[in-house]
Amino acid sequence: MTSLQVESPGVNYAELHCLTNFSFLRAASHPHELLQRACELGYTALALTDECSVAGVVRAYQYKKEHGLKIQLIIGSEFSLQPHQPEAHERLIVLAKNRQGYAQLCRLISLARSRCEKGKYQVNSHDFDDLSECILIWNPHPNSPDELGSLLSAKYKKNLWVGCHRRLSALDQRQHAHCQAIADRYDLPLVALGQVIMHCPTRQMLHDTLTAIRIGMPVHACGYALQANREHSLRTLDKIAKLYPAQWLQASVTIANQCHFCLSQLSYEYPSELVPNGYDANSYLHHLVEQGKGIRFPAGVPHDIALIIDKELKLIASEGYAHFFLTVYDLVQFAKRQQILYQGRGSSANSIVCYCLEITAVDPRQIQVLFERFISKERSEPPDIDVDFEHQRREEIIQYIYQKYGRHRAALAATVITYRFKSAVREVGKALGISLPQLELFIKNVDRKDHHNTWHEQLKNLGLDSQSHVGQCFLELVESLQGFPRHLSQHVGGFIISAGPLSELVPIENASMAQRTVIQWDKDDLASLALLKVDVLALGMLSAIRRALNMVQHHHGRKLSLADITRMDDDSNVYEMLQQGDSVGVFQVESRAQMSMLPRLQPACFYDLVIQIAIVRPGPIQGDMVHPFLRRRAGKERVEYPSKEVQAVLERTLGVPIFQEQVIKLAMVAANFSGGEADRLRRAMASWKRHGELEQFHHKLVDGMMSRGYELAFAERLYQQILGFGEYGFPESHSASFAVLTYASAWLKYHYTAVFYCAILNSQPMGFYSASQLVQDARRHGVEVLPVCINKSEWDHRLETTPNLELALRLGLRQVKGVNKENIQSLLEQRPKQGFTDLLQVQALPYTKGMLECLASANALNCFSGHRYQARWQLLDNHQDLPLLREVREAHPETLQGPNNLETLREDYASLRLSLEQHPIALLRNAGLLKGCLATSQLADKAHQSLVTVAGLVTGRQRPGTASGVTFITLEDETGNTNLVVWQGTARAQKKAYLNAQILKVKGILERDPESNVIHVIAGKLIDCSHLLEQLKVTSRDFH
Amino acid sequence: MQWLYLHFSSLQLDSLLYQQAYHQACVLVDKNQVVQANAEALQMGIKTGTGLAHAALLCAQIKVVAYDAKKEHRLLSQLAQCLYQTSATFYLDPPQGLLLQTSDMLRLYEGIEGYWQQLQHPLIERGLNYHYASAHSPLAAKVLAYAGNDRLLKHPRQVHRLLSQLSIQHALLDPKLALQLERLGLNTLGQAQALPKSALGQRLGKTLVTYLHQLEDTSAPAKPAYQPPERFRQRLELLYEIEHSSALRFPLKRLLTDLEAFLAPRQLRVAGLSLGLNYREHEAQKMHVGCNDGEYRAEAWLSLFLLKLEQLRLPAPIIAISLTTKGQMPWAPLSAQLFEPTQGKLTTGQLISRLQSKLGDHAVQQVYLRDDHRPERSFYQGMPQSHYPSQQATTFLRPSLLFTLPQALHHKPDQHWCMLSGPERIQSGWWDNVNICRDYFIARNPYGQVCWLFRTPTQGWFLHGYFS
Amino acid sequence: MALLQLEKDRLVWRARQVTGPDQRRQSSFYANLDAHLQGGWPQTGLVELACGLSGIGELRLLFPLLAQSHTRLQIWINPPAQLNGQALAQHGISLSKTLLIRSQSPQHALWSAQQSLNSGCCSHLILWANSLTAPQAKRLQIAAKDNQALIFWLHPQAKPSTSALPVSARLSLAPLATGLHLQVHKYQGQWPQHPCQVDMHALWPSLAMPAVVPKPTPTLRRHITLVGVNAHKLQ
Repeated sequence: MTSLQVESPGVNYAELHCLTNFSFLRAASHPHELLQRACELGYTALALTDECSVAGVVRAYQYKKEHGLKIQLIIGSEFSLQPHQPEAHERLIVLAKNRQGYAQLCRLISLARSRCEKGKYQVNSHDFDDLSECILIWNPHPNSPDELGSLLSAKYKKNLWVGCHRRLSALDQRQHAHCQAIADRYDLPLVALGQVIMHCPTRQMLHDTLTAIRIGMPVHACGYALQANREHSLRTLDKIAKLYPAQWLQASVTIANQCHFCLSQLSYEYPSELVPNGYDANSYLHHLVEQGKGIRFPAGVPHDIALIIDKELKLIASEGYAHFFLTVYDLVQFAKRQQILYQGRGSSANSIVCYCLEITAVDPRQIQVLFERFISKERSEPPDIDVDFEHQRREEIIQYIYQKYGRHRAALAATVITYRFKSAVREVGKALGISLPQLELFIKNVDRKDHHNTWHEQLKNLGLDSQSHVGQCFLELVESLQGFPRHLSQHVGGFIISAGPLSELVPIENASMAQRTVIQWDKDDLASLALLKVDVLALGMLSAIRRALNMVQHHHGRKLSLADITRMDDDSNVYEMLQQGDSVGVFQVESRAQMSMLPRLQPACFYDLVIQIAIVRPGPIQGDMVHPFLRRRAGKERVEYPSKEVQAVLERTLGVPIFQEQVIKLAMVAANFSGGEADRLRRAMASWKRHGELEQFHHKLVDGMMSRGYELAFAERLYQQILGFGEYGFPESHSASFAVLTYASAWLKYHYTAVFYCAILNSQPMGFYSASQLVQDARRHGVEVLPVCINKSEWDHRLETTPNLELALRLGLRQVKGVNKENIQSLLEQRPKQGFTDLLQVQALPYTKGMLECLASANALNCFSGHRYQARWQLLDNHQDLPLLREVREAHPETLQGPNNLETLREDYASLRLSLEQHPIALLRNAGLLKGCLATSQLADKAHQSLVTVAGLVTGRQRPGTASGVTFITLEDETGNTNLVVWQGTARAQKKAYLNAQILKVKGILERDPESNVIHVIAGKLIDCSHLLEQLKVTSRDFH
Repeated sequence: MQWLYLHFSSLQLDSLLYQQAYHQACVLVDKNQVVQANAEALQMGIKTGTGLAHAALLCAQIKVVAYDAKKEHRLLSQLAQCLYQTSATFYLDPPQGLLLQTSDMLRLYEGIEGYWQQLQHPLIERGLNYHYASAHSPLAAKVLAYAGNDRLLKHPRQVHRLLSQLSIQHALLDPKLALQLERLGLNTLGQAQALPKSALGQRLGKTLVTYLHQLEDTSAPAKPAYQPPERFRQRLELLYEIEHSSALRFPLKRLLTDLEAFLAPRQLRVAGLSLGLNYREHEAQKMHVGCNDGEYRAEAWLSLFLLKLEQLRLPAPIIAISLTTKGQMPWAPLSAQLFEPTQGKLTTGQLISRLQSKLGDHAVQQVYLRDDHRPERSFYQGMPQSHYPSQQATTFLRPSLLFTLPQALHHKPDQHWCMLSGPERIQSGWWDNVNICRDYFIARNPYGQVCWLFRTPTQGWFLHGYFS
Repeated sequence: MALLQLEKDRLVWRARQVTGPDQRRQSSFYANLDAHLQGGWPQTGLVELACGLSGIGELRLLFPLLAQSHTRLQIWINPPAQLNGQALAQHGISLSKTLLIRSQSPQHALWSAQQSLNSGCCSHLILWANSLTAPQAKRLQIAAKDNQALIFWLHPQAKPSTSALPVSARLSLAPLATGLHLQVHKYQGQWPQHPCQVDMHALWPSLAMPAVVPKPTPTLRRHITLVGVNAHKLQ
């Protein structure tokens, strides 16, 4: 938006009643749009007064700060005594005069919100008792009773005003007379209000649409619920001066002058109970670090490390962050006591102090984390530590926080859920009266990853008449609704903990989950205000590793911790395994893209893993950083640095920027960004999808770098990478924390293979692979896998010692579809030591028939019934429900034919999601239905560029956003997985087979990377062979 | 007995496309799933049961229409009406099936082939996709038709053989039951039939046993066979030619008396009558007369007709007249507020009918409100309804007389005018592209008229109504 | 037959019929008008209103009366513009009982009026017509009386019709700052009276001239009139 100078000299006005789109579906402009516009119009001040909320103010505050807007921002909120009828009732506007008034306002909002379910509130007139440091503006409605007047005027003589709006409605005169009468009756001053709900008149269309969404009717049927005109926008001062008496305008400025509160006055006070008597926070932290040194460095702290520890502690003390570290320390200590596995990450988590405090297991000797970046002094930004916990046990940590600090002092941050493309299409479409199937078609068929066709064009292709009036409105409205907040949801794990009542810092409201409360600010808002939060996150891999470590102890008698594994020297065997791309189940490097990169990158040490994790990301890929790195690593390209500064930043990654920190640092040293600008760049990167804010940095970055002698191509590449980071930026410190888990899981996979698979299977669902794929991979690694059995399986998968003293994996009953844990466990408790001997014995137990049928289907009753059909047949018999008849067996029980191979497979997949029998592709191959097709294992012998035919089950279709137009299909056969590359043209021309096939036969060209030996098949002809299974059914039946 | 089942697998879609000659992929969708697809869509790999998202991936330009079971039922009834000409006894099996009893028809058409020939005509004519099968029992015919058998089977032996080969999934069993059977390894109907019914019943419940019995049960369904709707329709050839409309009174009265005789015992009324006038050497004419709340008495209808006939000039001598009805309804009196009879003379409905007969339908109207800020759209005049919708009026003061077209003022209101209130700005209506932007004022002109004026953004002044 | 027809048209009097004019009244819901007309409008019959111009308050004169009656139809014949349903409803008139008739010719209008009255389901009828002949007026008068209905005949002449026309009441209207100036020319046998003023200010304050708005009390002096020329040219 260009800055428009439309000020009117001589007129001063402060808008004291203005809603943002955080008053969901009531207002049609973003906070920053309102502030920007009010500033352009020359308003003295703008009060953001969302309905019982301050959720939008941080955004406006941030915008004002960044753009240096010269307008006063007042924080307030609007309340209505009957909030469920948004029209036709009176409103009370409460503005914070100072920090205390702000606390009073937050308390009031929290109170009103606490009475209702999520998204609603309720205020009583008595709630306004304690607002001594606030301005109250009463906007009465002509029809309302005036008992509020006597109540308020008795209490707030000086701080109470009657606010009157003028919006060119037929009711203006009545409203005016009413306000005047009330002002006279209670001897109150009058002030002008704008009742603003949009920043400029052209938003009327969007506002009407929001109204339609709110009341759930198409716009044309909304009638008088819509605004009659556009006067609810920010109007020019000229016009304001014509509409209101001068003294009312003067009154608005008078009020604004009394409001001194600014969000910068909020400062965070740490909980104090963490420091024992006799210590202060710093000395206690010192003490704990000393203790930790003994645990982490039993052989003594190396000198250089000791120096860094001192440096870190000094920085922590000077910035006053000791409490924060103590808070996190307290959490992880609790986790440790409860034997919950955890791992810290975030910019501060990989400091040596954190290593000593056992917040992280990253051994500082193994990485070269930039310590100066540990806490950025110049940015005065709070340290960032996220802690991942075992996903199934994170709730224990959350409950610990609530119990330790109390619900009035601890709450989750909110996540502002916004309208995305799909929701915008659906809601706007309904509001415009477009039919639902049509909208579903739009939603399901628009490909947001298609960079060649905008969604506008795609909708046109789907039959939207863009020339029609409705079509044009639709496109425009969908565009502007996107990014609008819809509601507040709870953040996944961002906790804010305070010393005093939290509700004096920020309002708290109920979340949709019972017993959860969230604050009204998004996680990002907290960061902009420099408020501290602790992220308590859940990670499935930690659960898996915990299980594996327990099993290692149980079966191998070796007690290990995460830190024990990282403390051992890098194990070359483990790296060799990874170099082969053998990484199914290994944390962070098991995706297909990672897997094909492993043989090229050949990681050989811990830091290589840190790079490996960060490099296979949209950022580096989009910025074309991967190939230069590979070439340089292979020694094929010289590593040169354009300057010394750049060398300092990029040396450890061979001159290629891979981590987010490097990009930021480069912007500073190479393009001369100031600390503040770099900070804005970092935040824009995190949110560019939403606001498109990155574009403004483009010129600055490129020009800055060119003027300092860098090549244009280098600068553009860097910008491209910044764009990529926007979506999935990866900082080095996160990567390092993840690498610990990558190494630990790979280590377990190599050394304790059976244990590893068992643990991963017990932690499902997680990761990229299904239980079926994991079991196949386990078997390929020589692990014997045993079927489920009512007499041998437990609930979990477990390891069993075979007669020849190997550890075999016995599938657990958890794998059986349709059974629940409690019932199975109680069944297992009643299992005789020698096992059940007869089906009747099981039937006699008080379990539902359904559960037993599921067990029968899974062939878990195989031990007494011969085959599953027979077991089911036997179980189904109603007569056995009668106790007298239980012993009476049918004279000639029918014998059902047992399942053939294919039926067995089908039953296995239906009831267990996996099969230990022959692979379906093997069945087809044996039946001679796949003549000419190579098995995956045979591809290894084929030459580069040879023509091959393969067939397999389609187990994955992936369309990464980075690889434009390419789909990766994974074909599974009895010998492994083949990676198929399908170009867009190929897919389009053979859509039917491409989209529908479950079993796919492909003729294509084999491609082999000469260095890594990674094999792909570039698909040519696609043939849907799904029907072959049907054919198999017919032919196999003929054998009987 | 012999039964024939017709299954119209894409009845609604076929009817839709037949009317519009559409030759691109088109599907009917119910709960985001394709339920009917045309040949073009099938060609693209779209099947019934395909999710909408997947269908859209297969064919981006697909036309999507919502499935409507009610509509399909109506189509089925229409089809039945048409088949009634060739078949005497048949049953509707909504939403997509017809069950015909063929035994009686065979004699008439000399064998099933001849009958089938006749039967197919209207189906082909309407562009319908259908599957059929004949069998000795209704259920067997239905099951085989759904399986796409498309054969006229004469011997139960053939039927049995086909049934026993039929996959359980296609046997029209409850999907849960079918799955249960499959999971016992019973993949065909024959395999299930081979087991003792008692053993099956003990394990899988009565439904299955009943089903197996019904496959053999040759008797007719326990519901009434199809009956065409009863409507009065009569034609009267005149014994002599009529040259003046007034002379129509007597033959007309005869028809109306017959009508009364038809309606009265059925306890019916009709809302409208259509009188067909057949002329000698001139195209026939139709004359409609309506009575909103229904009437059956000849006398009442006659008086309405006479009012209309007064104005009629005959282009040629009349040789025949015919009478058809529309809007048949039961006798029970309506409880409509507007149509309550008062003072025992005429009901409101009768008054309206009488006025409309003379003045034309559109001369008699009621005023209805609509929620819209735009003044000319905030109410409308329409035909009187027996149930007046209850609506709230706006609270903004509005003039009682409003001009259909605002009248431009030649001069701006000057000092001789007195502005009473305003401006009230109305700027609304983007959604139907009739966006207005006006500042309304209430003003008194020098003659003492209280006017509703507005000014447009281009400063033009208009008079829009009077506060009479 | 002829006699019957004559009798039907009320050209022949029969002794058993009630003699003398109907003297019953119904309130107009304007206090001074009721006082002036000795109880208000006639219960039944034909009332002639010579309005001169539309838009002076001629319908507002009737609205309070019409708003009180919800049992039978109120029929409007040939109003000079669209009847604004919003305004009618605002004034308490039941739209479900409102019927609007538009006719091509004056004859049809009169026919409709007579049919409507004779149906018995109409309580009030508002008819716009330029002129009536004596037999037409007579027929309407009788139809109205026979069916317990009141018919208002509005016409745009400033002067009322000749006294020869058989109506129950004959009045002429002229605009005033606060309402209507009303001259009664005939009222069911009463002698013509001096004119009367109908004050509509209480019911429609915003339609009255500001000059006659009561002077603001001292406490209201801070009140600033929003209506003024300065607000006319808003962007």
